[in-house]
Amino acid sequence: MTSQKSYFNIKFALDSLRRSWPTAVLFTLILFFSMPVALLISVQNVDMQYVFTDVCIFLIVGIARCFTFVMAVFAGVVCFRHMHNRVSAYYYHSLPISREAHYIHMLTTGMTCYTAALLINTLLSQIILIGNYKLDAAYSAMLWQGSLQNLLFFALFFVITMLAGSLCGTSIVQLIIALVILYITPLMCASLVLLMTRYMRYMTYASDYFSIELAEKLSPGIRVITSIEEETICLGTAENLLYLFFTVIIAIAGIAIFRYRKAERANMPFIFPRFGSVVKYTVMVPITILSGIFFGSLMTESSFFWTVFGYVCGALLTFMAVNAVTQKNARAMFRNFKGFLIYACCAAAVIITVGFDLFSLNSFIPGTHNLTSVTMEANNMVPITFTDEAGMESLCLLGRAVQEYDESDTEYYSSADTYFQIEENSFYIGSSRHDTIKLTFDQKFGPTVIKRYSVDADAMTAIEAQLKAVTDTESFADAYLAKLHDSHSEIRSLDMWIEYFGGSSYQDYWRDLTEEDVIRDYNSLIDAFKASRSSIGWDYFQSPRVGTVSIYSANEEMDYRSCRYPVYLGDRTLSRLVDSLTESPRLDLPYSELFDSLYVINVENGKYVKLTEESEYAAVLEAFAGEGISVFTKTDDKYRILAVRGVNPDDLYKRGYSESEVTVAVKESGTYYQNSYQVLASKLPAFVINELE
Amino acid sequence: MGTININGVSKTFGDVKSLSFVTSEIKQGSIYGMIGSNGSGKSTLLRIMSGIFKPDTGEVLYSGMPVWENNTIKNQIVYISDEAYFHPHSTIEDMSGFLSRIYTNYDKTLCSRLCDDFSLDARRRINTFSKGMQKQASVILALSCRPTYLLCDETFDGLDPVMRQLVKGLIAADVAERGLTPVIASHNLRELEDICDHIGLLHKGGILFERDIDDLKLNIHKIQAVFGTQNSEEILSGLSIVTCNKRGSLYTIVARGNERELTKHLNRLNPTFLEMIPLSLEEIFISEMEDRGYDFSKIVL
Repeated sequence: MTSQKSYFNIKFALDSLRRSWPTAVLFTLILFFSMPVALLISVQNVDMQYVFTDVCIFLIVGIARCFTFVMAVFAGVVCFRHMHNRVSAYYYHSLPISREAHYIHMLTTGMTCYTAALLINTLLSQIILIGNYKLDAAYSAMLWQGSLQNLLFFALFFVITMLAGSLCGTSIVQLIIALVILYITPLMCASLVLLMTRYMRYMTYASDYFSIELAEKLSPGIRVITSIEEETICLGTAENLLYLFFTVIIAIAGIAIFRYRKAERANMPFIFPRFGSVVKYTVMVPITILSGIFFGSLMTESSFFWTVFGYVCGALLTFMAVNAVTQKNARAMFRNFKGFLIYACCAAAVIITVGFDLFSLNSFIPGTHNLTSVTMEANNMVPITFTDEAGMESLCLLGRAVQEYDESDTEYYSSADTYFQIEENSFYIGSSRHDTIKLTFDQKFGPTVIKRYSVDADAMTAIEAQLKAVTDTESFADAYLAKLHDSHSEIRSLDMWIEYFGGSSYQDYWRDLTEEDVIRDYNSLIDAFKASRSSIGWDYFQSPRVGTVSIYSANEEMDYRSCRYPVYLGDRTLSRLVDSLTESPRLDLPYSELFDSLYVINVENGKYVKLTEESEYAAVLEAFAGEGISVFTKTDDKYRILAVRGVNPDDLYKRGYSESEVTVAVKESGTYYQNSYQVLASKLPAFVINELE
Repeated sequence: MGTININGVSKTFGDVKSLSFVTSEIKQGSIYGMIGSNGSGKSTLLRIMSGIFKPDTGEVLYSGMPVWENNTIKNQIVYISDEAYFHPHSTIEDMSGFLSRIYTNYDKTLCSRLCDDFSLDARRRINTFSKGMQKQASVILALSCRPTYLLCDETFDGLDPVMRQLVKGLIAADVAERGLTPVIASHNLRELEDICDHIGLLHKGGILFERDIDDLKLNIHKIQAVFGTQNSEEILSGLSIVTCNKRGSLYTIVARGNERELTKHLNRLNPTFLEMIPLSLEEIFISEMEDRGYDFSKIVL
């Protein structure tokens, strides 16, 4: 004879539901105040119907979504609580109901409580909408789509909490596991990225490897927050299908685990004892890293001692807390301390491996054969993407050249044999002027590799050949112009302005301009770029920059493009636009006509020199010859200065930099402008240095 | 309808071995008493028999079908736990309604009748009942399911003697009328004595001893006798002696064997006084266990 197995017992399900009425009522009340009541209140304050409807529908959907996670976790814990009590668990398992059916009943109970509450309140909201603005299909669709989206989020969080319930024997541990399942992936990812970027010289920007976009992909718990923040009523179809798929998969996984759940483990922290260790050490990893980084960064200069202190404290406290909470016994804090010691050894090994870059991850540049594209972003330059082998190879060579230069830069790194010494030195990076070259290597197999090189003037000189090799290629010019739509004829929408170094000229540019004028300018820009395509190369970028042109365009296919191009001194590609900016400094005027007075200040000791004579101008400005006086920004009286940081060449040398950042402020026709430069300190006239020291 | 076969069942909780290859057969219609001290594995075995626990090894079969995740079989089994469970704030009426939706044979009329018999208010919240009343409620609800197999774990604990007899009477009536097969676990042998017809003794996770009570009683006897001049060796020779005490000239002998043959054997020695005294189940167990080399008092309290 075979056993008769039923996966659903409608009478039992209805009975469960009858006993869950307090949960349903609670959900209905929460949604009642966050949906129809909130809608009714907001209706009173809005005059414009078309503004009101969008905003208010999102408001109520958003508020309801805020509670989705809390309600789902609450429902999961409530539906599972009888399985966390030994007496009731034995009772239910003795009944002629299969474990699968029992789990499905719990799922349907929780889902029905929320769905009923949501349905009632969405209907009430719909009635309010009709009452105020008659029936509008589009707005009704928004409301119902938003509610359906909330239902999907609820379902996903609920099945995750139920899965957590299957894995543990107490409600508090269920809650912890649900949070761990939802948030551990992005947290682990973020902490590992932080660890890596803290120790890797060329991978210092955590945002290169970890972003909120990645986080929301890794966790629906974050996606729900960002969807509220972005005021998204409904996610994309693909995303929703994915969530639906995961909801079903997790529900099935929950059923399968519940099938093998040992009833005798009810009221124990974990149903599967080894899973407890997995949770404990999984939670410990990110907290260890984050606490180490937190304590290490409390000091102005990174401290080895406090970093290690943070690692040890974070790991130990998490170990003790998780032990005490999961064992429901404060005395169990040090239980399995041997496991902690093994973990500590593994963690130390990982940190040492990353800190000393034992796998050369920091200097790793993929081979051209494994690349699909390489993108270069440098200060004030349009991102350039190479997909051809020669172009990609030139960027690989560029990266290697910077690394080779850094290795040979013994002044800075000779004594920095360890990460921790480099950390101490790198404190000064922020106070000196460096350009950044960012290279993004998209690999055929493997993750995207991103390197950021901080390049000073000496380094720039050292890698000039490699830079020239990059900028003088055909593909460079193609890539440089690739961000633009080919012709105005395909442009559907266009926004364009020049930010001149005399200040933003957006309003100036648009003053008295018709759409035809803008399109004409865009055309002129395209034509100019096309005409000067052959001249785009190393020499093109050597002239001083005078501004930036920003272009936002979209074609008929709704292909939006956003790009910012630097405008160079003597570059006539944008002459039409340049001429329209009447209030900008006339860049072709001699310097002497630009300045009323000029100050040079040593910002370290407050001493300054006021330059009033033409000859003094000339002497100081000579220091900037070839550096390009270009970046002017409107400012006020008190900034009429030329500020020189760290004019003592010895200081500069010790820090590994041979140049300084200076700020010049000038006055022209009653308006003050300010500029920042990199200048060799040794080039400053002796009388200036003497006055400032 | 058939026997319960427990085949090589083992169960371990962490480092504690609760049951070790337990094998037994409980016949349909018999009342099986499972006796053992605390921690002997009675409750574990009952939970395995009711499909709550899955054994590490072996299986429990009802009429040849495994109980684990078998709704057909579980529909015929009711397990009365040593700690009664009822839905929060529920009444007997609520629980009766709930069970009627679960058990196909559930008899609501019987439930009402039993409530009257036990003088329990079916509409009163069970959590306001005393512990003994809750036990009664659980028995009422269990019997109302009209099960084929009733698994009782320390069910008589907490019941007053009148209620205990009432419950025993109900169980016995169901056995007689419907062929119910109750399995009653207890640590108190005296509680089982007057109801069970079959007894199994669990000790340290294994069945030490399992017998039909009638067989036990027929095969062992207590005799008090006074003899003339014969010495002890002469008197006891030819008897299967379990224990023998002599106070003055009065012998108290516990011996195995047929009552008639024992009497015949002793009469040959011309006793001045001879009387067959009935043995209590406890005494039989003590004798049997001591015969097997165990100190019964250390096994069953």
